[in-house]
Amino acid sequence: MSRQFSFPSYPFVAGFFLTLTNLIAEPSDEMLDLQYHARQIIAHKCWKCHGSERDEGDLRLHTRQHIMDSGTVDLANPQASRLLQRINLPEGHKKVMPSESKLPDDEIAVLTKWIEGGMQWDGRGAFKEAPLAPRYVPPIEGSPYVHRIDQHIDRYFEQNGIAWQPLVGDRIFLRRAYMDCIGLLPTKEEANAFISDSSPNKRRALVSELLSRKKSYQQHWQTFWNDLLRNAYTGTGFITGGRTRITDWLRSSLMSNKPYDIMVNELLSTNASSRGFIDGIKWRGTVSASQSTEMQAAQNSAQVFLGLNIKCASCHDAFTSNWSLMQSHQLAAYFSQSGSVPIHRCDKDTGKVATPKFLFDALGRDDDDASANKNEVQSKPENFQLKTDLTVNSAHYGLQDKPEQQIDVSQKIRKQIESGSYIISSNNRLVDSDSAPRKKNVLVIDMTYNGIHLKKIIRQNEKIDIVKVIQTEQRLMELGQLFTHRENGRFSRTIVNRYWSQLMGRGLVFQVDEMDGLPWSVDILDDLAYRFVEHGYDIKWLITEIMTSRAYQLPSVLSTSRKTLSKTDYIFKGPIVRRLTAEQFTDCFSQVVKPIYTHKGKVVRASDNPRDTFQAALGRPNRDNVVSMRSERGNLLESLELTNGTKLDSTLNEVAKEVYQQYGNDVIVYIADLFDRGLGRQATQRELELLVSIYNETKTSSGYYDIIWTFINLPEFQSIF
Amino acid sequence: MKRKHPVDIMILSGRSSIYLNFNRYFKSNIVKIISEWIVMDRRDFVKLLGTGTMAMLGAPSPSRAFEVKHDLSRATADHVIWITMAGGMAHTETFDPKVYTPYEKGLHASKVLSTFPSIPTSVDELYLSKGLEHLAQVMHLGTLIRSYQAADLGNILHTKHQYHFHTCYQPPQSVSVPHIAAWVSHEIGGINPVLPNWINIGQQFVKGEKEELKLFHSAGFLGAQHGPFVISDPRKSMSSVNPPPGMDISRFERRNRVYREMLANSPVADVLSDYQIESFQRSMQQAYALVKSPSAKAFDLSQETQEVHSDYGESKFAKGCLMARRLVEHGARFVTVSTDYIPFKGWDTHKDGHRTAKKMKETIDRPIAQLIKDLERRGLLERTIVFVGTEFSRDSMIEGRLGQEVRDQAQTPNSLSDISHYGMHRHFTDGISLLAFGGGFNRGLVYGRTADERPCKVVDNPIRIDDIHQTIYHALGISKGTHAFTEQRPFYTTPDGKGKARKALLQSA
Repeated sequence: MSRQFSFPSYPFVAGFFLTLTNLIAEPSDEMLDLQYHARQIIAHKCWKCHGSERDEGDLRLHTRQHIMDSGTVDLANPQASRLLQRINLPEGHKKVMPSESKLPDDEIAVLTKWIEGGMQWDGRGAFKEAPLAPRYVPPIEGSPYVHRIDQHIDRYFEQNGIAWQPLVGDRIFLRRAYMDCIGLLPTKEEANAFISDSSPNKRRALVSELLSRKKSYQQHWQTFWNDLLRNAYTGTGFITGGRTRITDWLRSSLMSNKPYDIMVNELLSTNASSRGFIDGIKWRGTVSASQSTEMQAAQNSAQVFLGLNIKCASCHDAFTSNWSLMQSHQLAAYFSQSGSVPIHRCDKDTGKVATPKFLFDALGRDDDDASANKNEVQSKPENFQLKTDLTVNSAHYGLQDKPEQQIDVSQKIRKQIESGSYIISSNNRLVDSDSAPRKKNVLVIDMTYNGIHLKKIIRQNEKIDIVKVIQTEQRLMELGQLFTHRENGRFSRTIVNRYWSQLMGRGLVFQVDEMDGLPWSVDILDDLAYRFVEHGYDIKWLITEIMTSRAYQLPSVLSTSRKTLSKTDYIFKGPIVRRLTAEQFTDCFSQVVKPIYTHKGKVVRASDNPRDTFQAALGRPNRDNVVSMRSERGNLLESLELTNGTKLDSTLNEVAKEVYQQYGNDVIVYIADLFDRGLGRQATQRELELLVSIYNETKTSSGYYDIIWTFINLPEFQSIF
Repeated sequence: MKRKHPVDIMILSGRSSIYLNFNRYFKSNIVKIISEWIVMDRRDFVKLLGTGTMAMLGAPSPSRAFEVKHDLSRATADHVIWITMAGGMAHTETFDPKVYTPYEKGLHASKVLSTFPSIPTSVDELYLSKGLEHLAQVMHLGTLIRSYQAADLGNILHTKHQYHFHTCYQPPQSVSVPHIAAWVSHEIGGINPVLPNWINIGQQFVKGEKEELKLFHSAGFLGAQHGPFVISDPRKSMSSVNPPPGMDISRFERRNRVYREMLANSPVADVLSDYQIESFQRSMQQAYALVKSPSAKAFDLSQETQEVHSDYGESKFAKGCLMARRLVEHGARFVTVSTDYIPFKGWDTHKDGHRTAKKMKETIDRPIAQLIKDLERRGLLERTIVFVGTEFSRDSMIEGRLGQEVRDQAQTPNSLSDISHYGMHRHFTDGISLLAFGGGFNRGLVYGRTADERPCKVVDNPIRIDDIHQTIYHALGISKGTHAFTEQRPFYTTPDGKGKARKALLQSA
């Protein structure tokens, strides 16, 4: 299937979009909602029998053309449309459609309205798609700005009649930079040093210095990546061994600033330390076909790395995108040990099978190596000589969570592996094994095959065929190459947009998981993505590039609702105010007031601590699904946790006593210090009066308790602006 | 919008508009409490209603493709008390007794259908299992469903079936799925705006499948504002709605006053008009209002007399039922009460099933019966659904369902050599009994039937979870086809919107 794009190239859109919108009526949100919903009803309720793959009664309804050709719809006289007549028959009538259950009234109303409105079906029987290829955007000659982002912003502002605002002062920049690079507040000394520094490049130098604090950087960004890769320390699946963590892999990747393309290649492999990502969450018992672990891997890798939603397409041809049932299964097949997956439609086996094929034909088509590899892995190579090709470097038993606590396997098992026979583990024991200890429930094999180094963890109750393991690994290596292909512009645009969204409060494309959406600046997105690749997929380069732009240093912009932010006519004027994440809030509290989590006397960063009631109430999600945006709204449960939750209460009680002992009636000194460290400013006279008045009521530690409580609940403390 | 009645209050939730006719409450006792509360707390009430309505107007809830109209004037229920017999309650040992086979050494498990004799009830020809004497006396007030069939989900994992029971969706799902209570909160909001819309009592999240439990005790993509207010132990519930220990109410009020003045005098006050910060301030104010409000007393069981306490009983579950009654009196929308699922505890009998079932019946019999009687006496049962459910049933022989048997998990031999081998030790997903009282459910109805011989599966009027959920939505006036958009696709209250209200269960449909 060749893929076309509804807008041929970005420059076209970028250059003419403003004028075009005046000339061509873009479908309104409401019309699009109606259209999507109508098509969804048809997809869900009709395609089972009348879709792309079935045509009962010679009727197919999966494209507008098919509907029109069938004659079931009469646009001139909508009420005479057979489609509408059939769905309007009374329940139980032998001709009512759908035959198994009549559509609810509201769905009939949607279809009627849609047909009466001309049955709009935008796109080529499908939906808007962003271009795949990367695009080089040349620097703007004669621009007053050197920074490439600012060159584009400058032009953008000019086109939109916006004037540059003066950049934020050092205090605000300092706080932003600290929160965004390492998720901590500057100390007094750090703040003073920065503010008194008169060097013109000090902001860039600060970003660079902060990003070089490897551990703090890792601890802060761990949160974002844990959410995105749904890596949790506790959660579903763990109880029955159906899930593995990738925490250590993620930590070391962030510590070493591993290039993003390498990260993704590793995530899309059976690497022992990162395989938790593609292995997904396995629930005991049977699950729907659209949630098989292979399908989870396909859904998550498409969503996370390419900003593509194929969740709908894993059940039936999608109705909000162009992805088909076949394509989602073809992607899932890469992850399957057998190299193929049975195709299920709405959980029913179609009897067909999908073999690996990437979502985008254009990639790797001219790449002979890749296609040759593909053919090779589809069938077992004839001369496959495991005995000579495979070397087991080490094999040992370990625990699910600590596979490195090893106990070597017997020579017998080692021989079995090398001879390529099946290894079956069950009930915590490897069959035929005489050395597997009961409580060591995984087998870790480190092997080399044809120069490919593989580390494989075999969990209990897993049936492993070493030949297939190696074939799967080869398939996944190929897949990794396709995902991270230099011609795959989606790959770099998706991550660039995620970071923009994290740092600026709103993505270039608003929905960070739906990269077919139109960016508010095509040039910035393409340019950043292109240069990100040129810079070796260096994530710290990307952060630096965004944070050193004047765009990042603009005063923050207030938003009236998330909805206004999401609008397609959104105009960038500066970063959006952001609320601290649960982890940032906790860490800042720990810094300024008293450590909330400690281990052996040392402060534990929130991201290293499991999700508890306190974190959950503050919005740290359970990571059963990919989370790419935290909710920014307050809610009652969170507020109650902050009002009388035990975790906060006990910490405040302790600290209030300590502070009272130390400061006694010198309450002003403490308040000044609190403001200095927590907000980087002095308290105003009025603020001082108010807080002192709380203390003066009792002149005991409870006064300090209430002062601190009031302080940490100030929106100024809880946001980045 | 036109006001139909001077005391009508319009609540806007998402894009659906609802008329809540306060007049209707004047017929029941609840109005006294609500109107008292209005009088006592009038200023805060008006303020809250104001900000609450504003909040909802501005709330970015998942949008809809079309307006869903809920017709609350046709609703037969306003409140739901959703009680779960967590761990799998055997129907043949409780609400659907079969032939009683007393224990004797050497007896084979296949000979055992019920380990208790039957007792008569307040409904002619209806028999329950011995040990449910109190419930037997209230059966004329509700509907007994004997034909619930759970899904086939393979090798049994309780929380997987519980997830399905509570959300109507089989796990895992590619998006975070809302609990039925969260849907109700999202669609029709609360009644008393001070109380959380969904209050969840009795379930702990500390042992066993705790993460799986958390997954469906959630509002999912509808947003945390519709999530559960968790009271793990109702005997210690006041700490949830009181100021922190050691803080008296005047100090609490003073702190709040200073806090608000700090906001008003902030040098960065302009930033505070951002919607995120506004919504945070609003919810801080809501938390303050709840803690300070007389409605918080709903959580205070010490307000009840010793007599009432002993009518309900002393167990944690009993206190949960009592609290549910108090909460409904104070205008709570949705209260969930659980016997507390902990693997191999409570109803989860992998061994010693007979003696455990006896104990569990003691745990639930009085409290639920007393709750029903109490609600009925106070005129609240008419508008309150009390639903008693369980994720599946149990059997002494069949694991899973006949024909679809799965990995055996019983811990006892089939040839009984000890009393601890006697009972229902396997998970059976058919023939499940459920109870539904009040809120428009029929009185004295027995719906569905199971076979009298093994397998004791449904032989008449089978019902699945989709229809059960839809029947409850229907009673609450929540329209069929209700859905919300997530990730650009509509997600329905029942899968694909296919659930149908089972009208035979309802008094008038």
